[in-house]
This record gives sequence, C-alpha cells and structure tokens, in this order.
Amino acid sequence: MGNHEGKTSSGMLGVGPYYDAYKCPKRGEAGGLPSATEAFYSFNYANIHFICLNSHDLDRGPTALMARWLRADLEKTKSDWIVAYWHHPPYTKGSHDSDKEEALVEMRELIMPILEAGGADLALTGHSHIYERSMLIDGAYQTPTIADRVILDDGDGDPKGDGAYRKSKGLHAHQGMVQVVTGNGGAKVSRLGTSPVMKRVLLEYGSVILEVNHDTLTGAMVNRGGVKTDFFSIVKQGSVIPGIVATPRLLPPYTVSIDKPKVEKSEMTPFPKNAVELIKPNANWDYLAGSHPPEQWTSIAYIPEETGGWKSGTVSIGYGDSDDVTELTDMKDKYTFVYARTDFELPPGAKEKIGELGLSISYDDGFIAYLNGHEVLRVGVPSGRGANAKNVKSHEADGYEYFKLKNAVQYLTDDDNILSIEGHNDNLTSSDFTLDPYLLSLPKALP
Amino acid sequence: MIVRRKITAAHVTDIHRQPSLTAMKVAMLVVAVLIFATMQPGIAHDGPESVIESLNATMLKTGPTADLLFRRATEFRAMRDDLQAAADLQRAIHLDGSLEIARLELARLQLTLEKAAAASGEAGSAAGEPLETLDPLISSQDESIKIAALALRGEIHLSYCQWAAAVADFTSALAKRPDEIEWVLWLATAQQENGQQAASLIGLRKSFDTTQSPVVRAVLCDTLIETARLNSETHSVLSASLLREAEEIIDDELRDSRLKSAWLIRRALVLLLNNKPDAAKQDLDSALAELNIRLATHRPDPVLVKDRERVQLLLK
Repeated sequence: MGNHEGKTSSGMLGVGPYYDAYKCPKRGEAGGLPSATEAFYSFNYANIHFICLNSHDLDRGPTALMARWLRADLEKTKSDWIVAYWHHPPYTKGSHDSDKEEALVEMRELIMPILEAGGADLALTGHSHIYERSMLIDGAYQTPTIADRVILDDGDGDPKGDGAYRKSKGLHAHQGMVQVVTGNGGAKVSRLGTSPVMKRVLLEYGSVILEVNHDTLTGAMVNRGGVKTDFFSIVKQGSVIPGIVATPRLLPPYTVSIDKPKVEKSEMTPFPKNAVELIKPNANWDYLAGSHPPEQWTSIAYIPEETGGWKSGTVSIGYGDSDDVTELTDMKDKYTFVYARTDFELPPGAKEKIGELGLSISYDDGFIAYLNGHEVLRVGVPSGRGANAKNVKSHEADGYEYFKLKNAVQYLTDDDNILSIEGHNDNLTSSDFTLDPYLLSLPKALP
Repeated sequence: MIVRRKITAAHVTDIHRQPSLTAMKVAMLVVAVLIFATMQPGIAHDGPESVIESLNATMLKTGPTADLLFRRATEFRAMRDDLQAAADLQRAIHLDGSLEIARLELARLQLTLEKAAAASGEAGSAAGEPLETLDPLISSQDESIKIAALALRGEIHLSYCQWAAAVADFTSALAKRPDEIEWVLWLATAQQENGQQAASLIGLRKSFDTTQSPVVRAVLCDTLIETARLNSETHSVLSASLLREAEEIIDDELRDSRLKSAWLIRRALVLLLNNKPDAAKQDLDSALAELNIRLATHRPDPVLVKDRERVQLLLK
C-alpha cells in the first residue's frame, strides 16, 4: 500500500477501499508465514519467495510487529530467490529524496539490515517518479547514502556488458541486493540528483519485467516505445565470496541548469496578489509537435504514448529568440502547432476552496487551453481547433501574462487534473514560437 | 505521462461491497477515510519540502487553518521534524478543538518525543504531556477514536511502567478489536511485568490459535520459558510442564527453519533450565556461527546483535 492508497485506507487497521479491493494472503495461504494482517505478507511463486511490506503507515522499527514478522518469514523460506517490494524507496533521488524523508530513511536504516541478513536478492519500490537501478550493494544503511564500502559489484550487471552480478547458489546473508525504483509507470518523472549506489537512472516512462530461470534472475526496463533501456542479471551459482569494491565506478553527479533568461511577468495583464501555483513555472509537460492527437487528447483518460509522437519536456517549448528550454528545432517551415498537457493534484476538499483559476502564460502566437477536457480559454485563435484552427493572430511573447479562466473551477476534480494547451503559430515561416504556461489559483473570498 | 483516472473510495466500496463487512469495520473505515484523507499531502507526487513550501504560500495568503496546519504537520513528520509537527498540531487543535484526529496524532507524537528525550537522558520533551492531550478522547462519542485512544493510552502507561493501567487499557481496546497483534503483545508485556504470567500465557495462546502469527508464537515461547524459570524452585511441576510446551514449539519451528539461531537460543535456555549445559552449549555454538555470518556488515540488524550478545553471555 502506498501513500495514494493511504488517502482512504489504513494499514494499521487493515480497512479501507484498498483492503476491500484486494484480498492479500494474511494466513500464508500461498506460502510464506502468516502475518495476520493484509498490510504485509509473503507468498511463493515457483522458486521465488515474494515479500510485500507496508512502508507507508506502520511502525518500521526493528522491534515493531512488521520487522519481527519479516525476520520470522526470512528464517523460514527455502526458495531460491527472495524478492521484496514496498512503496517508499530506500535509495532515490527522483521526485523524492531518500536522505531526507522519514519513510524512505527508515526503510533503509531499519528494514534493509533485516532483509540483507536474511539473504534477500532484489527490492522493488515506487513512490519516486523515476527509474533508478542500483549496482550490487550490501550494508548501505547510513544517512546520507554513500557509496563507500557498500558496493559489491560496480558493473552494470548486463551479461553483454560488464557481466551479470554473481552470488552463491541458494540464500546467503550479505551477498548483495539490487534495488530497483520503478516509479516511472504513470505520473510525471522528475529528478533531484543521483543516489550514489545507482547504476542506471532513466527519466522515461516504462515497466520493469522480471524473469527467473532457475539460477538466473533478469530485470529489464522497457520504455513506452517497447525499447529495452536497461537490463541486468543476477546469477547464483557455486560459492561466491563477496568483496567490497574499494573505488567503485559511480555515475557523475547530476546538475540541472536552465541556461535561459528568466521570464518576467508582463505589465500588460496585472497578476492577482494572493495566487497560489497549482502548476509551477518551468514544469515538465508532455507535448506533441508536428502531428495532431486524437480528439480526446485533453481528457484525463487519454494516455499520451511515445509511439504516438508524444515527448516530455520543460516549458517553455518553442523556437527562435533563444528563450525556450525545450527547443523545437524542426518546427520552422514545417508545422505551426504544438499540443501540450500536464497534470496537477488537488487533495479532497481543496477544489471547494478555490474561487478562481488563472493561467500565466508567455506565448507566441495564439493558444487554446482546456481543463479536464473542457475549453476554458482561447487567445489569438478566433475559430476552430487543432488542424482546423484558423486566422491565428500574431503575438510576441513578452513575459508572463495573466488570464482569468472564467467558470473553470467547476471542472476541477479531486486528485488528478489535466491542463492541456494547444499552441499555434500564425504562419509556417514565423521566426519564433513560444508556449510557456503555469497555472494559478485564488482562494474563495471570505463571506 | 500516463494518467489514469483513479477509482475513488466511493466507487470501490460500491462495486466491491463485502457482504461480511461488519458494522464495526464500516465504522472504522469511515474514520480511516477521514483520518487519512486529511493526513496526506496535497501534492502527493512531490516531496514533503515542496508540499510544505506550497502550504506555507497558501497560509501566507489565507492565514493558518486547522486543516492546513494538520497537513503541514504530516509533512514535517515525513521530514522527521517532529517538534515542528507537534507545534503545528497544537495550533491546529487550538483553532479547532473538535479535531480529534489531530489530538490523537499529537499524543502519539508527544509519546515518541518523550521516548526520544528519555533515550538521550533528558528529563522530558518540550512538546507536552501525551496523557493530558489524550484524555478528552477517552470519552469520545466516536467509538473508533475511543478504541484507538485507549490503545495509545495503554502504550503510554507501558512506557511509564504503569503496568496495571496498561493492562486495563489494552484489555478494553482488545475487547473491541481482538486481532490487533501489536496490542496483544503489549498486553502480554504489561501482564508479565504486573506479575500476571498465567493471564499473559492464556492471551498469547488464544491469539496464536486465532491468527497463527509467528510473532505471537515466538513471544508465547519466550513467556513459557521465562514463567518456567520464575517457577522453577517453587512450582517445579508447573515449570516442567511449561518447558515441555516450549520444547514442542521449538522443535516444530526448528524442523522448518532455514535460519535457526533465534530458536536455537530458545532451546538452549530450555536445556539450561533442565540442567543440560553441554547440549545447550552445542546449540549456542551453532547459533553463534550463524549469527556471525548474518552480522557480517558494519551496521547490522540490532536485534541480531542483541541475540549474539545473549549467546555470548550464556556461553560464559
């Protein structure tokens, strides 16, 4: 159970929609030891022992119930492989930081020692919206995470690259685990830095596919286009004496620099003073440039696919004037339209407190904005939409301008919302194009 | 970005309504929904630092509300800033005295801070007294809040070594929710400290029969051995009977265990109580060898460290 399920369900009490929707084996019905709760449990599948933990809302302490059950469960399993999974990653610098957040720190400091002493092979986690995969590591429990004396194999684990990770046959304590953060299945991917134990960090959407064939476990990250962008293997044969890699090869530190001038607010359209950013400036948006999406592209249910031409990039999106972060180098003379969308969340009860929505946007030349599939603003595109947009008026981007989104609050929903914007250039040969929006909200006025 | 519409609580409960869902469970569900809907961050995909920043901005414009403070407290807790979280919860309660869940969370946090202060040798925590905070909830009209408050008060009494009070609170809480393993274990601890070994054994046996929890079984075995030790001179027949029961559990567990040290230590304790030191030493040596392998790391599992210390003590 993760933090989103935790909005309406309680691991401590074992109640809520999550526990009504899923029936988990609390009495060891499919192998493993009874946990007497659906919040954490284990089961066997073929020669693999799977352990599911609750990192969200239970005591993660070493003498708390979950840790005591975990030790007992590890003592008993005789499967060839142990794969553990839970929500909050012990090692991540994606959209979350495992050196700062309690659940992540505690899973690393308090739970990882139990798993590694019990001979676990692989940990799968989510929460942080990114794909990160570690080297073969052991004993990396300290905060902040460092790579000193914890790397058992600093290779890439790819049989065709540096070679598979090697462990002794069977289950053995402290022979190394691989950590996979596979939070790249849906919500926007982002990155804060590089966890020192990671070998692969990918800012793209995809799924991880695991295969176990007797003594070999393989993991592949397959992106939305069906391309395998990471692959690793663990082979358990004979007797291997693990050793610490003294000076491991680490990934370079990650730095973000937007080498562009800061866009200022235009004086043309006054900004309200008490606005709150629902979508931040320079956020990551999905965009489709040079081809038209299906009609329902503005709806929440629509899934932008890489195979459909969608990409992900930081706004502003455009070309010319050297003011765009995501540059469309092929746009001039080829096409005049770009479609972009991103999501934002509202907790239960938040939409009722919003009195007005506003769009802050630097744009060149015109655009149409949609909220959850409903058109809420049209500027410089007098008629039509998409391929049928006509008579686009010329407009030069000169800082952020504020537009009230009239009657848009009614379209807000609890949790995920989608803001979509189609941008249009007035002609093919235009010297520039810019789409640089962010979303604001204003609280309801007090009665 | 792949975005799918989330199924709401209402959808799930409508579609998958369980015919066996008891009235109690429904009541707890309602509370859980309220609790956790309020507790979670507004921008759940972002880290707590971003959420705090966003809540700060909102509060600058709208002023603090109990809801905003409660949400920020949750984020401060996620960032391990418990003192700031406690301060926000206190302000939230000050603004809205009816916010029982904030009071419950504050009491839980105050207990955590007290324990941390005690561990570092300080007199007390600056965050306030948990019993005082919790007191109004014991008479809550909301049954589930009341049960949670009783269990938490039991935990507080346990940390204050007020055994009889802890026994009373856990007994009351378990009367409503008998399968809460953590409460069963805390009750057993309080009973043992309060000299109620027999009651403790009855409760643990009953809980294991119902849940098959391996944790309960291990605690039951430890309690059998400890009770046998306490009675070895005055009630030798009872003591022998308890040790036989413990032996049966241990043999059963060892038969299936891949990692055996915890159960080998227990068997050694039984053997020592039965005056078989040579056999006990064999078990302790085996346990030590296994523990040394499992502890071959610079920051090991503290429970295994404790096990090894125990073995070394028994081997002396």
